[in-house]
Amino acid sequence: MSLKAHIAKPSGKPYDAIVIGSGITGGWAVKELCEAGLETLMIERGPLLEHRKDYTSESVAPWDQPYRNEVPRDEVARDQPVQKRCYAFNDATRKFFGNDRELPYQTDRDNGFVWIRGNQLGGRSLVWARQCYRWSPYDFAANKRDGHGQDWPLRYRDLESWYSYVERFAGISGTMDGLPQLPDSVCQPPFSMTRPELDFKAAVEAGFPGRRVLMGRVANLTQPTEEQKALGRARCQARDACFRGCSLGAYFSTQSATLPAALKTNRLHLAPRSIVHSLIYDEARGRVRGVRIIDSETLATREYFARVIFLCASTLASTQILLNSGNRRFPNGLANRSGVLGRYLMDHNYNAAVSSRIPGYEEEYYYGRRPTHLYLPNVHYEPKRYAKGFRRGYAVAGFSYRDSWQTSGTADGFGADFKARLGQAGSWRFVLFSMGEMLPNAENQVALHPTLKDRWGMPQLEIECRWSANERVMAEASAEACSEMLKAAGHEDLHVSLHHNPPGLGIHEMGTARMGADPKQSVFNGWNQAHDIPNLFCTDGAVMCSTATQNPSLTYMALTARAVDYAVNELKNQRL
Amino acid sequence: MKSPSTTRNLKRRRLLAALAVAGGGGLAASVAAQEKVLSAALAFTPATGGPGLVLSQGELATVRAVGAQVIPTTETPGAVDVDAHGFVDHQLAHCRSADELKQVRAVLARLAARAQAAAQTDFPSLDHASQRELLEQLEASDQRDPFKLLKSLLVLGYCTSEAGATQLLRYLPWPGHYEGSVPYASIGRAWFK
Repeated sequence: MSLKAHIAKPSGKPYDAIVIGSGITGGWAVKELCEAGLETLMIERGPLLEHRKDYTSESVAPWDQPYRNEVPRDEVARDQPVQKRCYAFNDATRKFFGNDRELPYQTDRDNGFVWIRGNQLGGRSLVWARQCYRWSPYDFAANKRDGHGQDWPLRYRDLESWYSYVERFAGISGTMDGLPQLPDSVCQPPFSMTRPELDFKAAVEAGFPGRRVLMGRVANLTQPTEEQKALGRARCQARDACFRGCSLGAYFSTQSATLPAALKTNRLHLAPRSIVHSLIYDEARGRVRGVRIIDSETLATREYFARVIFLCASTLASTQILLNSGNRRFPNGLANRSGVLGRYLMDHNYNAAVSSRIPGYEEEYYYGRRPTHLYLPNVHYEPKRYAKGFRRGYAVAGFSYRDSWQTSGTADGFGADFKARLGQAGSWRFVLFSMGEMLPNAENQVALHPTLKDRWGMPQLEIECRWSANERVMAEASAEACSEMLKAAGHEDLHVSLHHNPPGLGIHEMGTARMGADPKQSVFNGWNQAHDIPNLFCTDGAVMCSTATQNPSLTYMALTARAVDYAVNELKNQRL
Repeated sequence: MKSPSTTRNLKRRRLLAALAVAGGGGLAASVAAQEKVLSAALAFTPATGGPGLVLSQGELATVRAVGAQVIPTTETPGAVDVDAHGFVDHQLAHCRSADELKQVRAVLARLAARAQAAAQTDFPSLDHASQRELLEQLEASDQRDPFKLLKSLLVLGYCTSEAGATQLLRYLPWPGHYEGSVPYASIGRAWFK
């Protein structure tokens, strides 16, 4: 059935619940709310995007792409100068990235925060890297133990069963490793390693006590469950074309997984092309009543009402909405009695990478394109294991490959010999890159610009965010550690890259509306519920108190499912 | 040579067959609908003599001759057969920076000047051995980097062409599964990707 059949009809009749945003957390929120029996409206600022039908670049051969997957220079310079910095941006995927002219923000020119946007139903769930790792008991205790940032209002044990719950549904491929700093997920079979990767693993695990080399846990199905098959999802075919959209639903996205589950209940209503302007606050009741939106096509204003509202618009967009919803009771932004709304913006630091050449293995090759990479969990996961010179730690990702025409094509030579070399695989190469934790810092913040607005009249965000010395020192140290591991595995021609990319490019932006036990220090409580507005929840990255080293999406999923469960129970007991 | 519609039908059948293997069931119909959209996608149209989009007729002819030297026709098609020179022009017109166009132009001007000095003719009119000699000199000269840019564009155009990707390289849109370790001999060529 077409998604159009589910578009909300303007009736003024209140819904049970409204979810703002349709990415990973918005998708989970509507699934859980609908399955709990609530009539739910999902509001999305971008257009509808139909699973399968709208994956128009999915199986287009390179020779049928006019630019051969390079991008049209002038158009991209005009419309997507920020978005094009994302590693997944190319001609086949750029339709899933926002138009920067429609999504303006202000930032320090020399140190500009990069804000990557997914402006369509499904949001960035269509183009995420799908890496899924549980955070550990150490991660939720980190702020308290070393004093950087405010303590989390919850612990690993509060999320443990919710991790299992979302993993079973989403489908994670990977290994069970029994590590204290990286609890096991409910896993489908892992992808395999290449021979040089297996030997690298053996060398690292023998030579560096505590270091482990795992196959990356990834939300690609390798052994779909009956539940997943019933939603129309099939096993991953190792095309590594995920970012183009997958008609098999082999990777987790809103379209492949949570949306069809929610649609099955017949309780989901969609409001696409609806830009949330603000939340409507009922001062007498101390509750939010609804949402005011601007129709992106007609510029008309509409209001939708509900008993409970979930903010899942993505870290910065959710905070922007709260900041723009100020009123007499909350002059500095809705639910912002603490004054911390907008503060403690964080990302992961991806600025260090080391590559190498591996002698030998000429008789070895791989078959297919693996949609994941190696993962080396953080070894500095508690204060007594901190390295000299920096706090917290980093995880490392890595992969191997054999040189192909991209490299041999610039070698010297001509004629039949040159062509013959072009057709053969070359040297084995290895790449390691670190993913560093970023400390929470009040100076890294966002605010509404006093005068600049977007074309719909929404005040633009002004973003100020910088790496601190801790992140820079950590990046250098991680490059050194990576080099040592590559050398221990017998690799040669090491090349260290220390980039100077600003925060945001990790696309793990977190914080700006943190959760906490103390209403004077935080915006949301340990149930993702606004301290001062019981029927307002936020479950995206805005609520995070620290970044840990793991990719955050799996934790967002678990937090969302848990918060909906809590909200539904509170609704039943008339407490919202 | 297959007509475009034949190729498309073959591709579509392969895709549908692969879907059936994958156990997609009802997916096949929706992918068939999607294929209609795909087939409407603009393909890069080969140039036919005359000037290019940004390169002059003479420059384009030189790029063509360089392409023949870099990737000649052997038992598989070469750069000229897949219009790699037309691709270079198209790529420079739409995707590359003004500076990259300038670099390529400078390389072509250098080749023209050398051909003129050596034999009072243009580069494409030189015999193959003389062309080769000039190119080898260029690749070892201070124009090495701009030349490598031109070379990499020719290689990109060739390797992403249907002949380059499927005949010189191994192109496998639908592997079905992943194996980290297989004998190189069982694949025999470099993967397209």
